[in-house]
Amino acid sequence: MAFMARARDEGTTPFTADALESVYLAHYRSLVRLASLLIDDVGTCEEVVQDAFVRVWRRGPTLQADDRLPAYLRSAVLNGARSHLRRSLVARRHPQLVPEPSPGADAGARTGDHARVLAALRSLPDRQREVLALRYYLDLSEAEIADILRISAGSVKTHAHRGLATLADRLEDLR
Amino acid sequence: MTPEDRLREAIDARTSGVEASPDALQRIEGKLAEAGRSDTRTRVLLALGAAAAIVAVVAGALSLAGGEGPVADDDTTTTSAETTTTTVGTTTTETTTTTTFTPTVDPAVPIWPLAQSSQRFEDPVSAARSFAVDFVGMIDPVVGAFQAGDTRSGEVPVQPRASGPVTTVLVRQLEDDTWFVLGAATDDIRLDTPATGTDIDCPVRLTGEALAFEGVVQVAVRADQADDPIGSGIVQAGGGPAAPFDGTVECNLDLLDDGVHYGSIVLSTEGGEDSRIWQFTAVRVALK
Repeated sequence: MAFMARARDEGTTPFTADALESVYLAHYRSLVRLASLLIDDVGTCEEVVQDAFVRVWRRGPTLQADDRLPAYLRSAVLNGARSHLRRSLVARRHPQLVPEPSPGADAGARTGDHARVLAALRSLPDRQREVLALRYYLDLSEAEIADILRISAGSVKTHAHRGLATLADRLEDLR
Repeated sequence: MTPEDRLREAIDARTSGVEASPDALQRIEGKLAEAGRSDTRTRVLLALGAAAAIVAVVAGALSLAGGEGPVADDDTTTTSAETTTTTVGTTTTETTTTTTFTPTVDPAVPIWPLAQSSQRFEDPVSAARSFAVDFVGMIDPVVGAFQAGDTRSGEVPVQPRASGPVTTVLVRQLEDDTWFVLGAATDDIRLDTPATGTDIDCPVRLTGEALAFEGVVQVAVRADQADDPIGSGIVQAGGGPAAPFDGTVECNLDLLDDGVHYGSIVLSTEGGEDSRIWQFTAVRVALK
């Protein structure tokens, strides 16, 4: 994020159009993919990520440390995904803990065991689901996950442990 | 294969098939432009409101100057200060009058709708329903009838479903005669500290008692000027019967502008069958 440091040195607002494009190129795809672990519809994932960009952009001048930007974006995406899921009528109509895979959509991941694992992940409580997504998709450390979710590192460990235990239990027949 | 290996494999399979739309950057720029236009509209409305307030104040001052006696106006506060200056052989007395416009609804009081927003509710049940759905995140709650406490306040019961536990939403008609949510309480989540109206800093320590599925109580620290919670986490009350909790939740005031801000702390529990919000307690706080 050299552009942000440079902008600070020059006393200018770091969030120029060029800066937005740089942030976009560096993070957009991985954020959409992160959201896709929590939300089925990729179009909705993109909406969530775009809204996260808008929120962070509009608060840009208050971001003082450039190395926190990815954490802010990830946090905004997870918050957006959580809000979407809570409002989702689909969740209301399909309350089973491990839904059957729906044929057709997302053929790459929605085949056989992968679909069941993904469905089981999405059925976990918010924090467990988010901790596992950050840990196993982005390979973040407990401290980095704690920073994004604004919880303690100990809580991250607890959520990860419980989430994995639940997955193991629900996917026992895949062994 | 271990659960971790299965998870990694499934995540790789899912994410490798997800690509960004070619016009995604343009869509972000479009949303930013629209947000900017919205800000401009808000500023214009605020300016118009301020202008109207100034007109009202001037009219009130003229009325007072006309000798018709004091006029009570909820929208204005007028203060007078008398200054005496003494020089050698001369004493001069000046009277300075300062008029300050006070917002119609004190932002320190209501949680929802936000005092500085244009959203208002003409009836208490609509306010409670919007609070439960739009602010807390309940899905299709059962909202009961308004139970009046006095002429301007009362309670509205909210349940996740007809047989679910009741969260009592406290509502009040404030200065502009519309309805606001002041807080919410449920028997299963009792928050002792911080109390309503107190100042909090980050991280925030919470104590109380809760009866929750697996003892987990979700906590969100919210600021009026932020769309997303400025902090979130859990406090653990232990499973089984109601048990005390004493936990700390991280939050971040860095994203807020300088000055005094108001917000709220929302504690909620989820149902054991799914991730729906089951019941909640909410208090108003000041963020320092």
